[in-house]
Amino acid sequence: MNKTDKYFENKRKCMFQEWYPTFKQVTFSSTIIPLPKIFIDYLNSDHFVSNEQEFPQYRNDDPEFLDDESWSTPRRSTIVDSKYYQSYGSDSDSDSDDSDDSNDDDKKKNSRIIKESEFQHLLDEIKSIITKYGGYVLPKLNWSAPKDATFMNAFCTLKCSTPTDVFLLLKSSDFINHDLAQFETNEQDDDLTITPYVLVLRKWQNLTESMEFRCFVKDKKLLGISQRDTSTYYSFLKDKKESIQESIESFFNQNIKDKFSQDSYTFDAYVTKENKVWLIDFNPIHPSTDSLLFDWEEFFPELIVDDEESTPISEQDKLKLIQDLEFRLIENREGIRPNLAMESRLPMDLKDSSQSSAINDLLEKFKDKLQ
Amino acid sequence: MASVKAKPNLLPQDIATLNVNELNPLTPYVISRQATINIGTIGHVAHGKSTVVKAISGVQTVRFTSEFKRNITIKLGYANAKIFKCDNQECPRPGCYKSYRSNTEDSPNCERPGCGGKMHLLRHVSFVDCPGHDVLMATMLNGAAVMDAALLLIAGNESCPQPQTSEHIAAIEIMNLKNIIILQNKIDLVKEAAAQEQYGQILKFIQGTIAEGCPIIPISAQMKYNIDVICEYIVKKIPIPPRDFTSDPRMIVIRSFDVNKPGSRVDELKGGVAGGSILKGVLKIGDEIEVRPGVISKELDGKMKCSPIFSKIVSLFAEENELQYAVPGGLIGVGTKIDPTLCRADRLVGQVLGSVGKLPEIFTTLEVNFFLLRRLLGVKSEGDKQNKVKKLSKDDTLMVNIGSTSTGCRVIAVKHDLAKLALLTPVCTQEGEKIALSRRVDKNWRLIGWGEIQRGMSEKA
Ligand SMILES: Nc1nc2c(ncn2[C@@H]2O[C@H](COP(=O)(O)OP(=O)(O)OP(=O)(O)O)[C@@H](O)[C@H]2O)c(=O)[nH]1
Ligand SMILES: [Mg+2]
Ligand SMILES: [Zn+2]
Repeated sequence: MNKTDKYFENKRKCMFQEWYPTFKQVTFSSTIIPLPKIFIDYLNSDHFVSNEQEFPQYRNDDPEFLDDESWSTPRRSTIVDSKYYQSYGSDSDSDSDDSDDSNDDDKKKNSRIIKESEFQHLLDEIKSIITKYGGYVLPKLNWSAPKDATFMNAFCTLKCSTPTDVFLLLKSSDFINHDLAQFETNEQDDDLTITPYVLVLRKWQNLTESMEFRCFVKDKKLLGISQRDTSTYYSFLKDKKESIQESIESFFNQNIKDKFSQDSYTFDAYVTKENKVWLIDFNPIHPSTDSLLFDWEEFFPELIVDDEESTPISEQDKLKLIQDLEFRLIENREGIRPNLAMESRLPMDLKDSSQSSAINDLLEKFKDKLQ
Repeated sequence: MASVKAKPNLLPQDIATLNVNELNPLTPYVISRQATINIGTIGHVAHGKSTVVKAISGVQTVRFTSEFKRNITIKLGYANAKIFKCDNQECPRPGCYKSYRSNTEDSPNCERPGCGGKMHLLRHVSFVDCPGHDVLMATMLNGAAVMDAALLLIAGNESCPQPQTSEHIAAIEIMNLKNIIILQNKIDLVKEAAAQEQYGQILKFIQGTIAEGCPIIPISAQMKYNIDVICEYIVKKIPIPPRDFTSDPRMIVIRSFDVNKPGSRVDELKGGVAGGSILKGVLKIGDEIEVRPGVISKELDGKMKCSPIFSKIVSLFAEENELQYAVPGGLIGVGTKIDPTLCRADRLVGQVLGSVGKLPEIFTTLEVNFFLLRRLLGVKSEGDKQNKVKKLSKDDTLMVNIGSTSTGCRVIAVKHDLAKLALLTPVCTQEGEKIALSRRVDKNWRLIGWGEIQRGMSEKA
């Protein structure tokens, strides 16, 4: 994290290892593992392999299928333009000189090859924590869970039952990348040096998304509560609104307000069917925290910087400052909305916001392929 | 868009008298409640895409105006609108065309002072934010035309071509969209002469492209100027798409959730909801359905297992409208009797819902014929070694897109241009289906190539 970041202190205090000891009693059981540099290098490396024993396996109905020897004859219904695509014909391909790649790439930071066996101790630790929590855990780093990578999980959730499940999620997630960009690790340090990063394993809970709420606190005052899953209308929430609000308010007053180190922050709360409240997480007042059904401007107009991209807003469009607690829900059924977090299930090349003209390139090549 | 708040008065649907052979995308009983034509909206964010969709559909989008926000890009997704024409012959065009929200009654009064005519429902369209990456990927893999037409937005206060416009045209070509309407937006910000000049530039720019000869309409989404002209063009220029209503129904799931109040008694529990787009056929309340691959679980011996879900449709909806039956077009919500906890948190995303026993097979391992790009996309410099796509090797962990599913996979073996892939989650698919392969490069998923399924292996029964 770069120290000039004006939100740095607030952000640092929201790290899991900073708040967990104080709030142990009101949040889900978790274990914090300080991470050695070798594991951070492993996460940062592009080298991404899984071995057969560790990768989730289904029962096969045809053992011969997995054989190295048994292959079908390709249908080749697709014609490939050798200008863009590698070829595998018998004629030697001058461009497929993979052999020397490893030497060249050694200098590249992301290409260090680290085998999982090089941090066996950590693997064992993760295994025993999973056992301690009854077989399933949810992983996260200092701030973020790999929510964008659920496609890299057999259950399509964050539920992990082996160290490999944990690594597959962490290595596939942009949210985890975001966390990994917050502190510089020193290249000179040796592999076992402990970094500012931690791996958090939380006991898996069968949560109902509709009962998660994000709460906004400014100067020790609870000002906003928002439904956290903003893509779905839950009709029953209307009737429970008051009791949920009461529970969260009293939870805040008793357990959070005078105990958290910051005056302004957000926290995520889970309300059970008995209206008991659990703390899920703290998040900083920071652009990277999703303000959900609120606009940051409604709480902290002083932080808003208009940039060129945004459409200038007229005085009458300016949002009103929130001074008393407001609780926002999705109030009507609008039908099915796509889940925007699902965008991460596609290669970056398809994202048109990127600087490069990758999409254009893709389309060009694809067109050629079709011809 | 005008807001009609009155309780909608929609045509009743009756399964008892339903004959799917007689349905088409204009059947009044269908379009009273759901969209049947998909229109992609293409254009740069700042060019007013969402304002246009809002002006036509009345669907409010969230505004993100400042840098103090993770997503500056406005993501609208999908929005439906009904398009009407006034039945009074005297009512002058284009003002006699008008659009309202999807839940509007089918014959509201004409709003023109003194007209006295009734509005007649002509079309029910679904606007899709495009090229939504998912739509683009799905089209590239399946070649299927997901969109029936496109609105291409160009900002009237900038000169044409604008950055990205050629990309947008390329996307339109890939999606094989022949029906395009170009909107010259923000016309309120420029003088007439400037608008004329830009009109000329656009004409020249689209010459020789797939967009040649398509209508160009000057509009102001902000001031709601010429929205009626867009409606008229949608009715007159966009042909009714051919649809398959008679095959066994099949839907791709893009959302799934549990809408129950925690602690509900078993007898008051509502089944899980799945949402998605119907590819073909008609889904009806009461239909017995199957969802593949279904529930993924871990056995005591550590092996994974998948079990298709069998259930029944208990409700159907499109935006706010309840349906008795649903046809292809827009996004459809399907209420089922599935154990709601199985539907929580989008767990069924990428799965396929359809008639029992009529869905494609479930594969846990694939043999694919693949072809890798020489270098990563968007990289022009030939000399750059890092951007070369490395060959596949055993144990590589990749992301694979199959239809609208994505999952992780491990490379089991490679021989020339054939590879065997062990999938993290089984996929409901078939031989011959196209796939996309991506690898982690510089900590991003990058497309490295395409493939085609040669054969698949199923789970042992
Ligand atoms: N089913 C289940 N879901 C969980 C559990 N713990 C957390 N979650 C879900 O995982 C999500 C992410 O957890 P958080 O710790 O809040 O993740 P985060 O990365 O801090 O999220 P942001 O602050 O929004 O970026 C939550 O919204 C919960 O829905 C669990 O034990 N079981
Ligand atoms: Mg958080
Ligand atoms: Zn009229």
